[in-house]
Amino acid sequence: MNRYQLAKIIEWAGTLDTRKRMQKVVYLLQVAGCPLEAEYTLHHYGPYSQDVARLTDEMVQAHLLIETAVSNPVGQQYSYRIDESARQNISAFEATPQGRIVADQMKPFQSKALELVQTDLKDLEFASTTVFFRKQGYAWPVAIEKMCQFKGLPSGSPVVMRAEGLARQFIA
Amino acid sequence: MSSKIVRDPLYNYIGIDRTKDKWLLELLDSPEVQRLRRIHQLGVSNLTYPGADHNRLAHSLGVLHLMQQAYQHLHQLNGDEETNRGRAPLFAAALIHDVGHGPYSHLFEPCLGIDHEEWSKAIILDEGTCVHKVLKRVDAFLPHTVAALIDTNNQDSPSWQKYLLSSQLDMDRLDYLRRDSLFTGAGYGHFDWFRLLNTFEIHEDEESGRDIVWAEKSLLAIEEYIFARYYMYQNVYLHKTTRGFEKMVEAMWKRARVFYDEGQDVALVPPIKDFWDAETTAKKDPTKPRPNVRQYLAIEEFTVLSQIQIWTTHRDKALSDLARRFLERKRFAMVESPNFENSLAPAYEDWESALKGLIESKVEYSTPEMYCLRDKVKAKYNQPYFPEKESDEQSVKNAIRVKVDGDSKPVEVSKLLPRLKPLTQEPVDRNRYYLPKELQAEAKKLRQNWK
Repeated sequence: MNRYQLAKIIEWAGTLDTRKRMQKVVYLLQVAGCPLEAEYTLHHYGPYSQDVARLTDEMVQAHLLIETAVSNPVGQQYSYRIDESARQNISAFEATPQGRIVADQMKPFQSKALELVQTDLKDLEFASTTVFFRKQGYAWPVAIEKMCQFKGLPSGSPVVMRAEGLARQFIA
Repeated sequence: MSSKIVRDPLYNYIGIDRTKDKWLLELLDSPEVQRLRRIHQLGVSNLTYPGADHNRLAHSLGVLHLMQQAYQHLHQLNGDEETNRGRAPLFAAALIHDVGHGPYSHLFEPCLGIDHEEWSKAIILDEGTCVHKVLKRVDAFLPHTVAALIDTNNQDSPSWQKYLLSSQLDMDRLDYLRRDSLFTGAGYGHFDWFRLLNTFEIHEDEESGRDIVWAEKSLLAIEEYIFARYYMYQNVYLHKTTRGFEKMVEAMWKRARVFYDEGQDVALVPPIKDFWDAETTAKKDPTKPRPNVRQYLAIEEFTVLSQIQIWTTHRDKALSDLARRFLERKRFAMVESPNFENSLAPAYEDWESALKGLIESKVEYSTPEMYCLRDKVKAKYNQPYFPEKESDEQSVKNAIRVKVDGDSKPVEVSKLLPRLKPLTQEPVDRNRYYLPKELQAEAKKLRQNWK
């Protein structure tokens, strides 16, 4: 995943709340075919990429992203957005021949990204975990069962059904 | 009770109980584990540090030794059934976690397109290997339990076991940092490992279960460990000479693979030909088997050295030139890429084209891709410890956590150690380029004038 791609997703989102959401949005877009190429492993809260976490910090440090921290009962929660100069940078890059190619690759995933940004965070976590198991080659019922075991959820509950519905939008 | 004693330069004695852990001795004597004697722990670092000839077997024994001590401490803290169940998987995984490494450790992963962890699992689960048979004799499920424990993407194993084996402060790192420091003679990599081994605690969390956390009194030892890791990366693991030779080997292998895929003769030695043939057949026809464990284990360091020796007389000038340079230790020079720090779209491709243009201008380097080798050092290698910022992402893999007196919730360590800030806030990729020495000055000039 590169800086432009992350900036673009955040530009689409307006403000992207929580690093956990960022992880899951990038993961699901990638599974849907968006060429982001981030390396993901399974962590306690589902698929997690150190590449994405580091890239975010790197871009904040380079003033390409604006980070806001808010305290909540479990600690800090972070939000990300871009400013006007970053927006201009994106437009300038998209005007170059190389930028046009990358922008065209990203564009088909804009509506999906916007949908994911609005989705309940727990649903995103459960759906992306199900997708992760499915990608490991497990049949759908097994993948769902594994997700339920992993997250301690009762099979067949509304939240599991929602997660399955969402997961099926991303992987056959 | 008598123990089999192994002398070790780091711990003096490593003991394995002959009665209780006879199976561990059998595991140690298996051909798959003994093969680790013939794998350099630090790849081609001995081209930079002549003493760095230690092997994966010594490291694996070291990890076993530390795991035994950590387990003893854990047992004193809580010797319940869950702890007891973890003994055999932890000891086995400590000894064989690297059993799938190929020649020169990590170096040959890109060359052969392999992942050592995948091969470790394959070797453990293959019913034909000695490793599998020994584990199965202990417990029918032990091969699967151990394979799951070393599998990064398998979360079926208890998180405390995962933490001790593979985390940001695990037994693997505790051993290799000190061992690599000793054998390179680099003089870095020292920290109070004994304190770290004896000051961790168990934390029971409603959601994530049993975890390993550290006592407040471990703080300085943790800080020292993170700094040691930083110094070792800067001075040993990312040493420009070593990385240059690694890129040279990768370039050779990549070129040979192109020739092989085109059906040209690359004079492959039998184990490599066998492996690539099986791989190609499986790629063309997915019903055909992929390379098996026996074919993989047949590729040894002497196999690849012999292959490189053969390539020194290959008709392709670039391949034979790089093969000779590698064997004669004639290194390329390194040039850093221009600073793209604040750029949204770093122009690495433009910079690389300019470098290749420079190389191509010399008639003897008509194959610029073999003489302009890019080394992308991922940010994670410039950062000895990566603390995830958001509290609920700070799970086992993402953080070293410390239990502060009076606070039941463990705290991520960088919040308690402000001196770590410079090390934990430097997440940038570095791109280095290797090219023939006589072009270094011109390349540096190109970089200076880069806009």
